[in-house]
Amino acid sequence: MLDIHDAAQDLIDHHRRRTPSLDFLSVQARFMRRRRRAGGVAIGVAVALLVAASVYRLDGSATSVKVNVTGPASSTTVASTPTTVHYLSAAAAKQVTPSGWSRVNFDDASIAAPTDWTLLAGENECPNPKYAVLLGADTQTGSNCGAQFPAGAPMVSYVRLLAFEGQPPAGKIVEIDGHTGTEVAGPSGTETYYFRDLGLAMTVYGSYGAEIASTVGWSATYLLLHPTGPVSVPANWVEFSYDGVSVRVPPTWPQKTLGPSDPAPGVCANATFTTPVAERGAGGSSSCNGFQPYAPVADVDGVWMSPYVTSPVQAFTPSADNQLRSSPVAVYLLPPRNNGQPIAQLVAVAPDGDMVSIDLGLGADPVIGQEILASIR
Amino acid sequence: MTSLPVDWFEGWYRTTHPRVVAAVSVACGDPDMARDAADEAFVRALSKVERVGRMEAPGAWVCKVALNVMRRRMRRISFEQKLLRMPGPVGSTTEPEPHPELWKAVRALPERQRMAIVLRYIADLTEPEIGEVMGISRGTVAATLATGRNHLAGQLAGLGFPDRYEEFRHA
Repeated sequence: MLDIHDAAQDLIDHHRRRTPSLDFLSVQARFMRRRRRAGGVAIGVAVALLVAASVYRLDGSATSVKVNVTGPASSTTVASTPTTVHYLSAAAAKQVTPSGWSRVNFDDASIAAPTDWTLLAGENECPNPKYAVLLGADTQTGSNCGAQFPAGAPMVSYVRLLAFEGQPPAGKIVEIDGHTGTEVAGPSGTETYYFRDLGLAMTVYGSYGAEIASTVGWSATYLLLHPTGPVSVPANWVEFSYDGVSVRVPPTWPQKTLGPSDPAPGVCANATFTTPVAERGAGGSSSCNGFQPYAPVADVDGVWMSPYVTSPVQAFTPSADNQLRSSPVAVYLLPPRNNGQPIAQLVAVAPDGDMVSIDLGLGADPVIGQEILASIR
Repeated sequence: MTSLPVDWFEGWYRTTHPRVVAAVSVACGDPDMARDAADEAFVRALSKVERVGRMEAPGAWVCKVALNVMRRRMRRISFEQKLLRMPGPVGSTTEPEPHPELWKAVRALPERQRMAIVLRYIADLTEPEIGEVMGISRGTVAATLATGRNHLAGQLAGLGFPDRYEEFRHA
């Protein structure tokens, strides 16, 4: 005969398996304190925003300010001082990522998500995951998910990230790690947060929504382009070149030339970099079996230089808008692939006109990527 | 307690969080909402850990907060569904809870009996603590629990579990 205490204990043990870590709780507690504070001083925030607007343009263009990071002079490892730099404060550059989670990048923004979540990007077919981050509007076009979303979809918790600009609807003012946003309750228990500075509309639903919302911050690429101070390339870094373009990388990194039997980094939704490495060459072709969902990957530094191939997904025309540097080689930033990975995709144009694609893996410390970027010659 | 109760909090959280989730889940029938409500309650506890750590019955306090969060959310969802005429979120797809027939029967009890049963047997609160959470006297708690257990045993007998849960009458 079952005792009610035993039945209750079975139920408690069932839920014990999903008890969030104390990290989650701490992050959320911080989030809640800020929400309260922000709600209590909404007028002050509005005034602050007006003041800030006189310094930065808040129409979304502030996020696209480019930093002129110059390469090292030939006789020294110290980069010349950029002429027009909006340095990011150290506090603003700090990201909150609970242990066991990884950051998911989307345009200029990022969030942290548990590593066992599924990332749905572009027009991937959807395997009806229980927990997912939906990157962009196209994720609604999958055959089995999204179109009926959220009603009828068997998802427990999700976060949808969409590009956003303009005026958010009326709602509660929130502040998360220095990002002021507007929280608007939606149907069926959803909440949408609008962040003008991040260019992000983030809809959350389910058990983990609030925890994930509290981790919002800048993307790895944004932090790459917005250093917190002058960038210099360490003297002991070594040169790594491909097709007329070179970078400098830490001496501890393995250097590898990809052959026809080596899969290209990042194919089949794999992480482009799993350990710090410098790779060059196109690599061999790979066939991926069926749907390959993305997953949050660790922030890992790395460089992959390969022939630039025009991609219809990432239409790219060199212009002043996407040019990061003009000399000694021109370096351009491709539109983000928005598959969540911490990768900046660059194109360097050698003096002879050859275009080299540089996938820059961005680790937890954005300074390493900044130094590699500064070293491109 | 003279030392910082942060160390205390972690142990208490690990023990009490699943208990509160289970209690709220039975009370509202939605494990996801229960997790949300429990998370929010413990976040509040963490944000005032010094005060909560010195309470006589922090478990009762966090249960009360979680149940209030649950009620607020249920009201809001109900209002939104009426307003927008939209279906609500689907039920949880996580692994089903054990002994579903029992918890379904608990959910079918009148609210006061249901809450008393949940707080006594899942949240493991004492009768005075249940009285504090529900805003009723200790004597009323005892009477409500007895009535609830009888109703529960009767319901389960009607569902074909006469022996299995007969002991509830005397728990």
